[in-house]
Amino acid sequence: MAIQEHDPLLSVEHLSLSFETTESSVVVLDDISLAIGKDEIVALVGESGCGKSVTAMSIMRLLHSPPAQYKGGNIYFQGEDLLKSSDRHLRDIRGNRISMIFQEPMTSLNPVLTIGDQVAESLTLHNKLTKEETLKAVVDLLEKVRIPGARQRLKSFPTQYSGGMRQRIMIAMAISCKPDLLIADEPTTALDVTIQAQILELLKTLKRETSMSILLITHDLGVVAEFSERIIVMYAGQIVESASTRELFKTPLHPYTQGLLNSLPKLHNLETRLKTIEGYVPSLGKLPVGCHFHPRCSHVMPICRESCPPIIEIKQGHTCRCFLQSEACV
Amino acid sequence: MFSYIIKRILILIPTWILLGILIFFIINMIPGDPVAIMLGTESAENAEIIRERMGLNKPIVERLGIWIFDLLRGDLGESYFLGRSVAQSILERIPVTLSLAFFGMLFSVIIGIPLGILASLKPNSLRDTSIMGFSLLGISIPEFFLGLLLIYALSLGLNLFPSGGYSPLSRGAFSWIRSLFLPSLSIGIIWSAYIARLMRSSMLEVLNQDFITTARAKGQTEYIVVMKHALRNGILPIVTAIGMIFALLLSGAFITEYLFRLPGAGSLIISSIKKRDYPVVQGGLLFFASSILLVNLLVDILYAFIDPRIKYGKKS
Repeated sequence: MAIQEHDPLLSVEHLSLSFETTESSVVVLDDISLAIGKDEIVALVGESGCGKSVTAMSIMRLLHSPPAQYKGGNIYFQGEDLLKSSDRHLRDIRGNRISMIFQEPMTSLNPVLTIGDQVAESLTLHNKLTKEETLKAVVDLLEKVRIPGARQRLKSFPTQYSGGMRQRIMIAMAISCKPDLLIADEPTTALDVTIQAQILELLKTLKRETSMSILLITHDLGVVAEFSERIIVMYAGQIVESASTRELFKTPLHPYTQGLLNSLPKLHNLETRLKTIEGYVPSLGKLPVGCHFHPRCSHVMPICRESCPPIIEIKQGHTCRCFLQSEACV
Repeated sequence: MFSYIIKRILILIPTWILLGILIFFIINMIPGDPVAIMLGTESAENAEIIRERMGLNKPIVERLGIWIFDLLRGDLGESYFLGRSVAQSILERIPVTLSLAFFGMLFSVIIGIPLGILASLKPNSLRDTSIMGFSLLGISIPEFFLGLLLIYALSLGLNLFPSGGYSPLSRGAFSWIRSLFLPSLSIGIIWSAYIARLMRSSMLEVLNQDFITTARAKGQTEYIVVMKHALRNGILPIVTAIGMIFALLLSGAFITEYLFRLPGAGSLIISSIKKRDYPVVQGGLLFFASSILLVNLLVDILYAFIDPRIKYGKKS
């Protein structure tokens, strides 16, 4: 489903991945295809446990094997297939051309190493710098992510920082080598609302300055609406819909996406209760037969209980995995 | 930090006095009579005279008072049997005990920490299972039996080391190390089993932490991820354990000392207990207890240097 006219920066094609143990095998990613263009912000949206973070980790090849096992597909980054790359080559890419910010700023920094050491780490790994150059670069980075008194804080430890400041440090580390792609895995979920806004604003500014692409993983549609240009919706290990942000908010096609948007609070209609999607996310080990969403779907048809709909392009740049749409197409 | 250390040392004083009282009562409550042992089969007529001369006819509380009073002046008393002061007979034994504890600890750390790390890197693999199997063996094997095996293999078999006896450092470093090698190895293997186990579980916990993924996502090599990011965190519980083990070794290597005929503090205490040599037992136990207290203090101070999250004496 290559949507980009030009060659995308990252293109994941039909990626399948499962977690294998001696007792069981659970398909975690099922035929994931997505593309991120240069200078683009793409959001990957879905509930907890739908495979968003695993997608991010699988792009970086950071999943442990066992249990993770790639079952097929390709991950092309700037034309190279990351699934075929050597460990050494992957290490050259990680933190350098693709970098990542994680959900939990409280635990994502090493508690026994100084902030300065940790920010300098990727810099010295991927660049040949003298001590003074590194020091200067670290201070610049900390100033860039708006850490006050950067020079005095190099010797401090993560425990002396608040959650929002730690996330700024994570961002400083992630952008230190001017990556082409930044994967932000729920960067604001663990932070309170005002700090969330600051962090998103910071990411936006940095993006404008450096022209990197961002893959934003989140379950917060509010964040997505104002931040990303394109949205990919995931449900139970599959991509169910993908469209530009404007298009998706205007005409959501998949019943799950519609349900998600309906459950957002609306400013002009505060009286009614928020709508919810009935039921729970199925566990990936016990997926229903047929469409993964059918037990919770209000438009369920007999065919949905028998087979899983394919993902098809409904109109230019808008794909959906639902029999309602393929019926309409036919 | 400095005021914290001072505070900790001041707390040691009441702890120490309490310990002394406890030790004194326990030792003096054991049935048995040093005078009877001293006299053997001789007539009991002299017993009263000797008892009076040794101060044993006084009530126990008075004897305690005298002992504590002497203690505060730095006098541990005279041994009943050795013809020397208690302080002197303990001091004679300290170099043996200390070097045995040191080398034993060295072996256990050198063997245990790498094994624990290796096991943690590939949990449930063949390597992990074999290391944990070795560890289980080390934990279960009786100290004397391992010692005998080592004597049999390395001393009687290959004739590399003496089967026992102690050669002090003053008679040359080489023979000193040779005489301590087997007993230290025997202690080292047993404690390395514990350390390997502890290290493994501590590393497994750390390796699952988010900041390890962060380090990998930076493109860091697996070696640095393990040796810098994980080890600095994973070693913390081991430092506590090493402190405890060292304190234990200072007081508790009786069996190894006996087996290898090392004149250490452990064997001094055991033989003194048999003879009811009260002053030596009291002094010795107090010495052991103090070394445990001191080692604990050292470990706590060391912690502040390894773990920046720990700041003593400061209100956060």
